[in-house]
Amino acid sequence: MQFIDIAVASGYAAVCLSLIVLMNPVASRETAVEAASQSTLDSAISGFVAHEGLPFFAASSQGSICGSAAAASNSTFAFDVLVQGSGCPSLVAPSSPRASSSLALELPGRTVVIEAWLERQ
Amino acid sequence: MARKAVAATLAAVVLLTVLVVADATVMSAQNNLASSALTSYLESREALLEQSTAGSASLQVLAQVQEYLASNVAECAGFPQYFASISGASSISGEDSGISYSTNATAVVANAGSQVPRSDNLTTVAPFSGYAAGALNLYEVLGVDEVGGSVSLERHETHALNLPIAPDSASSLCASTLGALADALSRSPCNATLEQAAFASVLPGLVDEAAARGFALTAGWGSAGACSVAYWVTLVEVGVAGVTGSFDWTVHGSGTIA
Repeated sequence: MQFIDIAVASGYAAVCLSLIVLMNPVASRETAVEAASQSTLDSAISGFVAHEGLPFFAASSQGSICGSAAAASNSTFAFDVLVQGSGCPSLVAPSSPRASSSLALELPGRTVVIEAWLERQ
Repeated sequence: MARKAVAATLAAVVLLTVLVVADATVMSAQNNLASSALTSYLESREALLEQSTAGSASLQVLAQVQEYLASNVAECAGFPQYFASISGASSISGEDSGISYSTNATAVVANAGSQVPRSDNLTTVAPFSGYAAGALNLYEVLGVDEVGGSVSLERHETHALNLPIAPDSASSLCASTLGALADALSRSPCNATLEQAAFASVLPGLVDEAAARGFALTAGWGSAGACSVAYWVTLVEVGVAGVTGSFDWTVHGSGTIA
């Protein structure tokens, strides 16, 4: 009888501990944090596009576009713009960003890709 | 001893049960948070795609119209037909971050009487969005459809676009120039010397007037048989700031005096 009690109690304990391990809330939290970072980056890209306007990206030289990307970058966000696959030589992607995002623009005569990174604070 | 063991076992069972329930509650809350964050991300991404594809499709339509204007000379007498033949259409589709998107835009020249909105919220294509007095105004129909997970976006709108050529100014300038040339050349019929002198005397004023209105004017005349003369004028609006860079728009007019 005592042996059965111990076996049942141990089995229940094992099941409970397994459930605690399986129901790990950390993964969900990381997903939420990552999604929030992506939303923040997309808002930054949207602001950058709205500030410059699409005609600027359609008709300006790569130097002008790179200048605007450098001006838009700060301690929180870093931008790079690829015009026909060619990026800005003066802009370097952060080595370990918290998140990254990009947006491709199919403009008349050229494809422009805006890349953005959320810097680690 | 046996009672103590049972009590300890029961306490452990209660404790473990509480721990499991607490962990499940935290897990459920984190799942809800993650789900909300993912939905929010999809919404913000769809808004960004809507903003960029709507603007890009509109710019492509404007580029097509610009290409037409740059490569086709407008006849002064045929402005209505010229502008009626202008149209543009663009389509952009693809998939991004799990979101399928499709954007279609078509545009025609807005009729004088059509209800073109004076302002427009398609701000990403400024200064080519909205109605511009005296410019070439276009009426655009824009459709955006996006589906990503449980979040979908469907938008069908009309917009006003513009290209900064000056059709009204060109039309009136062409008519007044042709009228002035006809007037000068008809004063001395069948006398080429006097006709040339009259043409030469009136031309500088016409060139200056055209320049003041942003056009480069060239004109000429010649015999059209017997005592008839033919004359023509070409007006070029140089360096119009278009969506893909500057371009020239050319207007041509001609007439004869029997």
